[in-house]
Amino acid sequence: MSSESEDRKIVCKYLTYRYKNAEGIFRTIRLPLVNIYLKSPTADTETIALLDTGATKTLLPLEYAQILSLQYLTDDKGNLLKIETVGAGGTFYCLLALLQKLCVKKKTKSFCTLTNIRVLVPAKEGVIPYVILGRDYVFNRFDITFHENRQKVTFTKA
Amino acid sequence: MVKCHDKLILVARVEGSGMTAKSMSEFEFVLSLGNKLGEYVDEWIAVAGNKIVARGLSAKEVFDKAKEISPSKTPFIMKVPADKVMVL
Repeated sequence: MSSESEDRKIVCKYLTYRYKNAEGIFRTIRLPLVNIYLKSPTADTETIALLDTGATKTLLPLEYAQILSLQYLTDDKGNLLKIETVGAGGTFYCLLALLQKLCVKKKTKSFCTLTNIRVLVPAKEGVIPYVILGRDYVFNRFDITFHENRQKVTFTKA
Repeated sequence: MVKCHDKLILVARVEGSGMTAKSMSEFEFVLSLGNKLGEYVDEWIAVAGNKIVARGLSAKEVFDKAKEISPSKTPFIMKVPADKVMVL
């Protein structure tokens, strides 16, 4: 990994594209997705993550937890900790996992490194389509401004 | 070039983005794809350099294929989002 960026302001572009769906109708994607690096003791990967001001916690799709072989947290009796999570589609259950490292990147440089963080992992695949960066970690490190018309997001060190 | 390996389709594609593979991160390559990314909606893809090196319906299969192609590199994988209304 490259060293952490010293820039005070980091501007990232939204991911945008158009496609034709199964009904032949053009749809447009315009999302504040950023590049992240994920590391566990056994594996690492890079992917995309949605900056979500509506999420109180950071969530990781089960697919990534499986690739990274994440360990789930348990209570005193050894039972997996299950967290009831409310989304627009209803309530779903998440497990609590410990993630060794999560870096937010611009180009090839990391500008935000989080270590040994707790993330929620939905108990089923496909519940969320990408990593969701909620207000528990990254939003505490940066003031994050969404420029919807310019399709950009600015991170300013808090 | 497209080859079929069971459910996994390998794709080697070089895009003329004006940036070299060395200077461009995998995510920048994804951003540069524009509407071509629409060809992969709802699929998992793996990117290495300026190529989509694997695609499929299984994250693990795509990750493993990317590792097989470039064992020393950290695989970049993602599910290409479809247009869905998202609210909380």
